[in-house]
Amino acid sequence: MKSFLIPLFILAALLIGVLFLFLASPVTTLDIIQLVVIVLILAGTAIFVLDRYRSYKRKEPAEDEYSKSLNQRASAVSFYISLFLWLAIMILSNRLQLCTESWITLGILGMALTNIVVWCYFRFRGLKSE
Amino acid sequence: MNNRIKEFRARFGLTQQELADKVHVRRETIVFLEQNKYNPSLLLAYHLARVFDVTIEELFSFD
Repeated sequence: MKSFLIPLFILAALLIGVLFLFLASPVTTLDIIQLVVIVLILAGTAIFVLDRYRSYKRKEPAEDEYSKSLNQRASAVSFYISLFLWLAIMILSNRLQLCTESWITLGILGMALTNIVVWCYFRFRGLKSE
Repeated sequence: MNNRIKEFRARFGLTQQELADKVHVRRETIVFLEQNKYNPSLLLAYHLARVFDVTIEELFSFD
């Protein structure tokens, strides 16, 4: 199966979901923050899809040892950052008035954003210390 | 760790894509290797050395 089709499908589903979400309900400040985060996640996913598509066009393997190391490293670092993110959310939730769903949404979006940002960072910087 | 992949690739008249195809990796991996931004596995180092018909020690050096 074409390796870029699954991430492309996820990207399209995310895009359609976001459009429906923001067209169906009134937009608040929190929604705008969420929208910015979602747009960043979509941009990161688009880079990933483009990467896979280029490999497919060149008839290269979809994954090799470098891309696997990149994914592992990005996952490891973003997991560590995510722990601190949830700690920050736990502390902030006692001081700011937001419903539980909003905190959970922020946490999940934060985790996704962290993973995308860390992945992009290593993608362009390389894995020198590996 | 430093390497002489770029030098050997030029000597053999290979493009990055051709070398990547020979060792079954993506072109990006060769790019990062040549820029010393990635240290390859022993298996990939062995495959690269075999393409250029040299030893791993000739291709890679430790500072």
